[in-house]
Amino acid sequence: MFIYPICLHKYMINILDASFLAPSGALIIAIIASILILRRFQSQTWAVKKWLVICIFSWIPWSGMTVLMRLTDNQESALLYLRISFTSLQLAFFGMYRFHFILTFKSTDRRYSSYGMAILITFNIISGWNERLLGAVRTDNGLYFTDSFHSLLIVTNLLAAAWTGYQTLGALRDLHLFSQFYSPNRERKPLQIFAAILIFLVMFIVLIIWVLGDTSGAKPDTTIFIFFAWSVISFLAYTYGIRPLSRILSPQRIWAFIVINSRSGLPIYSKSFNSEVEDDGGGFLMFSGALNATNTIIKHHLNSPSSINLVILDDKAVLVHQERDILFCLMIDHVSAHFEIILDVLVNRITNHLEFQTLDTFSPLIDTKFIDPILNGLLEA
Amino acid sequence: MVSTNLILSVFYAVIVSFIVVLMAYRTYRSIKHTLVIASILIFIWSFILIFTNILIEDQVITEPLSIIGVFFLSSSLFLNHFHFDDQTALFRQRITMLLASFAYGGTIASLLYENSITRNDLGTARVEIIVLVSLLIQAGLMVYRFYFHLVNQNSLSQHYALHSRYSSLFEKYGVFFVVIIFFVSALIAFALHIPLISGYYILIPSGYFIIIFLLYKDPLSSAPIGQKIHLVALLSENKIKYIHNLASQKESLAQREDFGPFLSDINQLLQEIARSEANVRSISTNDVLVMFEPCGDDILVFILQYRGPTLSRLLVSLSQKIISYDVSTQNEFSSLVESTLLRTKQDLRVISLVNKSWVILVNEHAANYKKGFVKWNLYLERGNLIELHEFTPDWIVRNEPTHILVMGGDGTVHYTVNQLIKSGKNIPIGILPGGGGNDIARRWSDNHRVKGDRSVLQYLETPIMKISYPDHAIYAVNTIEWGVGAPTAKLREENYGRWLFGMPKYFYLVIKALSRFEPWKSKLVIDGEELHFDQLSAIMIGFGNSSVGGGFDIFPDEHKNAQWSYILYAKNYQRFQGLNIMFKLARGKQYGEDNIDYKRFKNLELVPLQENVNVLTVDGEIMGVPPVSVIISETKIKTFTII
Repeated sequence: MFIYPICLHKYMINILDASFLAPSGALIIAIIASILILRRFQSQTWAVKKWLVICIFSWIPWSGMTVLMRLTDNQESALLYLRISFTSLQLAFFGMYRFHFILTFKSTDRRYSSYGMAILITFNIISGWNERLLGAVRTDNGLYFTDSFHSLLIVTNLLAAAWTGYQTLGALRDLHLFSQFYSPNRERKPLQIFAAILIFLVMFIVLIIWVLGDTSGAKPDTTIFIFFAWSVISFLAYTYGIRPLSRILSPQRIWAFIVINSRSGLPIYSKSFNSEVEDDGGGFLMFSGALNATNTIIKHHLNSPSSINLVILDDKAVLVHQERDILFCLMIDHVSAHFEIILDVLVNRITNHLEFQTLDTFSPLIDTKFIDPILNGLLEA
Repeated sequence: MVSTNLILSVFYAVIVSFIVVLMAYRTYRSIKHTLVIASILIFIWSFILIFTNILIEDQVITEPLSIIGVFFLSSSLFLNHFHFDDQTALFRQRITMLLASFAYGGTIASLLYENSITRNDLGTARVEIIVLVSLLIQAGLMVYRFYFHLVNQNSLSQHYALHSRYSSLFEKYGVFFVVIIFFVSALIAFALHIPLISGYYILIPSGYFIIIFLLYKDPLSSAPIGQKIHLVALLSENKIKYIHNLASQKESLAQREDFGPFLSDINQLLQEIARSEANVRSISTNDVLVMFEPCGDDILVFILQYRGPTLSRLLVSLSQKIISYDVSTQNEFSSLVESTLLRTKQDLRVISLVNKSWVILVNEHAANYKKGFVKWNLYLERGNLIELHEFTPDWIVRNEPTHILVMGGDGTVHYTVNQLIKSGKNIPIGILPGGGGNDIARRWSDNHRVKGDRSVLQYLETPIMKISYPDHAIYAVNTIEWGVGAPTAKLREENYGRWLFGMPKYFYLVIKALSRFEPWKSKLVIDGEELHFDQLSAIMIGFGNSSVGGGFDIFPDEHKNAQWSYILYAKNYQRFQGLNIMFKLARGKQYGEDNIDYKRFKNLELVPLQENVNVLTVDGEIMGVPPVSVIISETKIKTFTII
């Protein structure tokens, strides 16, 4: 309502100006992307999606405030809008980094990277409110305000972007973004691969132009570069949402989910996600017996009051969660924070289920069909 | 305004703490770097502090310098935090480190603000509150992490319980003290509007210094793992080849017959679980972690408490060492484990031999009694510990220990040997040095080295001297002194110079003793030859490789025969002229003077020719007045060394 009249008298001529178009377009994309992503990740828990949501939602104040900065006539307001938008941008960087971190990386690995990112992001946020480092200046034609980055801030932002980009690319490589597995039949359509590569290429070219332009004194608008960067992020976040399970099939795959009665050592529920460990009748029985025996030995011999919570092998990992006399085991490729969260949620949902609460674990004939929809809801949403 | 003296004291404190860091971590090759870099940064910061506050007055220079200084300080705090985090942070408990990273980034950014640090004409600096707050947050988080580091340290130390009981209490209060320094003082400074500068000028470096000092107090427990390790074992073909227990409370576990099959069962079961040939790397509960590491064809098993970032590095390093050293006995394995994990200097090969049939004598009056308990804890835990006064000939006959280990100094060993000879038993004696000078330990160690083929326990027949008084006889293990030795020993008993140790202490006591000293008239009969002295100043009797006063060699190198006995005599030295001998003794150049000579002897008589002469000191203890005769005793004692 208030944008339109201001636009009318001042910006009709400059409506095609990229500095105005970029944030406006970004704002629209951000709002749409947020809605789509929220819908796609509807069934995921907040522990999994919170950083993604922070990342996507930070985009709205960033682009929105940039649009407001273009429209205002007041230096002070312009500076305030710029600062808010800049802070949002930093939060978005961190959110994106953190989301990929939880998604794929092992909890103890890459901690140096996390600390470095935290230092950089805080530095940027606090520097963004320093007049000497970030200012709002009028453009040469005097029509609107644009940002003016100190070279130090350009460098640290580039670092933060490169850092986030590097970790994201690492995660995408792990997730086989550039291979074929996304569609329902686990094969990505050539168009999608092409789009993914193209969009990265464009971002890379724009980055080069932007850096070269800035160093040669041409002062290209920073927001244009960030707009491109953000388009990529939105695109990726959207594609994650298409089929969350498919992204973890390789190399982080779920092999099996088994529920064991720790008194009898028998499996009371099992589901295989991979033909290699498919239940051939005796397979899971042996698994249950072995795990239960190991658990008993460890508790008995090593005087451990708690049960096994993790078994790590060269090529697999078994996450274990005990509730009452039941052991919930998730066999996956390697330990990651993401799957610890998943298992926690899974166990919560199962144990809170009415049928579980009335379950007689002594009975050999236990109906555990109620677990299926829970498992499907969480892992295959 | 911060006074010059204060800044200089901060500077000195930083230098001292830097040296302490280097000393405490000198053996921790791969782990010390972070802490050393952190200390260097603090060092640079304090150097800049001196420049900006004392040497330079120009604001154009001092302001940017101060900013750079605080940057170094903040970086140092960050690295310190990282160091403790790296050593002891538990799996997934890294939130404080992440917060510290935010605070560090905040500090650096806030330093770039205009007037973040300003100086007035008086040279006083004013720090922007945002800088100070972020520094305090960093410091607070570091202390928090350090507190847990100490908590974990204590759990590591519990199986060496003798010292941890008193040290942990001290550490606890030490940490509370640091916390109070950091926060209460800072809060008071805020509340009373005391210039905020004191926050980073005084509080943070003082706290840092205290932390470093606490760390140095117990370097053993600052071992890289910082948690309780129950045991380390090597599995070969599903059987336990070697096993080394580190936590005494789990001793029964490893002694169980089914423990070997248990470990191999776990391994096999887990391979079943994986349904693959892949090796199991670890299995954990909330309280126990079992880790497996391939070691050639064998598997190394660690049983400990919880995951830590430095663990896998250690495990790989231990595995490589086992392969490269070609470990072939249990003792070698234990020794390697202990040296890799705990960096102890105690010889595990010997420790593993110690059992309750070994008697370990402790002397609460020995100079380094408390330190000895820390230093030799592994021996003390395993042997049969008794106080010196209980060690009588009757006791020896009644209990018949297989070995005697003496923790103490020369006096303690002297007493032990004499009691042993009285009992008529010939039980091997070893020493855990815990005295001031430890000359006997030095000599025995030298004897065993001379023999060349030092195996785990090498037994030697060591000669001693028999001193016959008119009515009784005693045995000297190392030296007999007549002269300045007695007043020196007396001063030592009166606790003079208790703040010194080793050679410096001996020097100090001798100088003090010389002030009371007078030469005397006497006669020596050396192998039948009579020597008369009007002014005899000093006599030292010992074996070729005997030393006095914590390492002063008495006899020249060419006569260092451990089996031969010698007498050194000095004459015509008045009071402080005796110092001359001391200085020469210290440099090993006492011979060549007309007034000093030495002779080899087989039997010897010391006869005073005047009243009121000095008493004898035997092995550093005052033991009666001549006339006496000294011979090499036919009885030899059996000794062994452990160092």
